[in-house]
Amino acid sequence: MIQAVNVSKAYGDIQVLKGISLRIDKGEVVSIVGASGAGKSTLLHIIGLLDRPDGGEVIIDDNNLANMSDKDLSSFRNKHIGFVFQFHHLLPEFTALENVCIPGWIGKRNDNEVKEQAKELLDYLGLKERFNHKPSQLSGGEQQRVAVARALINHPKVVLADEPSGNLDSDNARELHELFFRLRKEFYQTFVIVTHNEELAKLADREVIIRDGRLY
Amino acid sequence: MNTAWFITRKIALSHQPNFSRFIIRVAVAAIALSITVMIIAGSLVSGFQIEISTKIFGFWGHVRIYDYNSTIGFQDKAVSIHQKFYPDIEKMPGVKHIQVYANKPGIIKTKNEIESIVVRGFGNDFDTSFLSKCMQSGKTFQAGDTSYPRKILISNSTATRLNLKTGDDIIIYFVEQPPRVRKFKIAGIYKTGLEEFDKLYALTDIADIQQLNNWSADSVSGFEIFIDDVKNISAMGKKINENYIGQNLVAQTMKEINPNIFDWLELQNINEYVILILMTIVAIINMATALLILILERTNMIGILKTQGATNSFIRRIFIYHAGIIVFQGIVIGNIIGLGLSYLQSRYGIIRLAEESYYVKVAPVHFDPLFIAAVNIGVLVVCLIVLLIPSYLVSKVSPVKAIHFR
Repeated sequence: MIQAVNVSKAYGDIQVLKGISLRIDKGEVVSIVGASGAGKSTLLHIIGLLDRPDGGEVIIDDNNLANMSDKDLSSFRNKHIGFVFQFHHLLPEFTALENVCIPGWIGKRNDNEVKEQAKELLDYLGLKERFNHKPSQLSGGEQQRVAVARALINHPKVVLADEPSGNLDSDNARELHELFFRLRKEFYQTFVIVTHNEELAKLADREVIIRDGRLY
Repeated sequence: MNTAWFITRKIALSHQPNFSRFIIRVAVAAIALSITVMIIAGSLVSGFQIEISTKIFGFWGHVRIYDYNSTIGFQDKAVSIHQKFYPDIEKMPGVKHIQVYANKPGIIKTKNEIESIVVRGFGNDFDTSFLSKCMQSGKTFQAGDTSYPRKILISNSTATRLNLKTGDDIIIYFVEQPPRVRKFKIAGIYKTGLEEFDKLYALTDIADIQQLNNWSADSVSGFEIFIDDVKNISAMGKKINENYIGQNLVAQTMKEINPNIFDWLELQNINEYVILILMTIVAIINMATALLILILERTNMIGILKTQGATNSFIRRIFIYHAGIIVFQGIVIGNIIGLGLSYLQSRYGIIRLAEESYYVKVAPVHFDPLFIAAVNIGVLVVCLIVLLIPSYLVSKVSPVKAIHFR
């Protein structure tokens, strides 16, 4: 479903990715592990269309993304890719419900439909009582679950998670990991997770190791 | 739903970071100041122009018809009142009134002083409404009064210089061969504030001037025409010249007769334009700075929205809307202060002027709703168009860097 073919990327003189090829199938949970600076996040950003590769290509469901304009890439990202970061990156002025709705609204979906779905998602993630709370009024675990709901609102083909539990205590981290697998089981959701957390990496269907810009 | 506007409203109404809040206040204040200065400058300049031209037109009419040979000599040439335009021109659309006049230069002599003067005779058709408002003492009178001595109105400036008051008798010498002398009683003292006219003219019954000139009752120096709308003055002058003017006669507008005053009034427009342009630049520079700071302070939000698939133009719209809110706040405050101060000036006359130099005692204010609307819409539109340029900074924000920027 998602294919990175011979992807390379350099920042200045530093060659971060040296021809990486990776295939991720629908419903798969893939973890990417490696030392700091090995290029894990860069690969994730390229798969997530936040950055363009210097060489190689990314193909998602037969769409070759190399030739797309920035505008088309934005629209593709909105419809098909969800992100969860180490820090929740919720917008502080908006309530949990609004934060979840924003990607749906950006995609010009029906307002009521988006709200209903956001409520269902938050409810599913155990945040029923938190719809109208601002991010600052939520615990770290709750914030991260709202971020997961936001990533899921547009039914993405894949959720890309960059150190999603890196900022959580062990209980909250475990809860989040379980959530990912529950979502995979119940909704056949695809996940690509960059992590330092060995427990999470091991739980994944497949663990790929990135070292010196290459996959092992 | 307009998501960009929804996001803008939320972030504009939320508790902003301290620095942004300070910058937004400075920007609102700059816009408010610009609008205030523009409204005051515009209202004062247009008040000044309208007040002075109203005085000139009130006293002299808008268009004057006379024998063009009158401009050559010292003495006006006689013009018959039996003209096809008199008084029928009043039926012409845009014409309010026509009246006759006759001038005669003379010298006022008192015990200690002498003063040159032009005595201006008015007829039964004289519209006294403007002059009545200018009376400082005594009152205007109608032509045809046969009392003796003959009545005359002199200006405050003449009265002060010759130490005269209402009710006094004066002797005027008219330059003829031999000189002719007439005694007049001062029926009233007027003041238009147009010093150079005031010090020159006295007004009396036209019959006296006709008699002094050895003219018949059918002869006058010329005609003064008042029109409805001063904006049409040049067109009306041309139309009257083309359609009504016969041999030896000429119709001239007051702007043609007194180009120096009207050129000076026109010159005020340049001052106004300079102020408008400078104030717009002040508003734009402040807004551009504010917008750049808002964008930089919200780099993280820009990155987050980009990861969610927001396009550059969507995010730029958020900042342009935000700028629009700031400009709008500034405009509202600027209008309140600008119109408020202008109102105080028109009500209480706080700014005073030297009348002998400026023709008015108090800086006059004129509210032109069209001008005020144009200033408001102009500032809003110009600011927002110019702000499209700094808003392109949004497209330079890399989402990858922005989400690591905390």
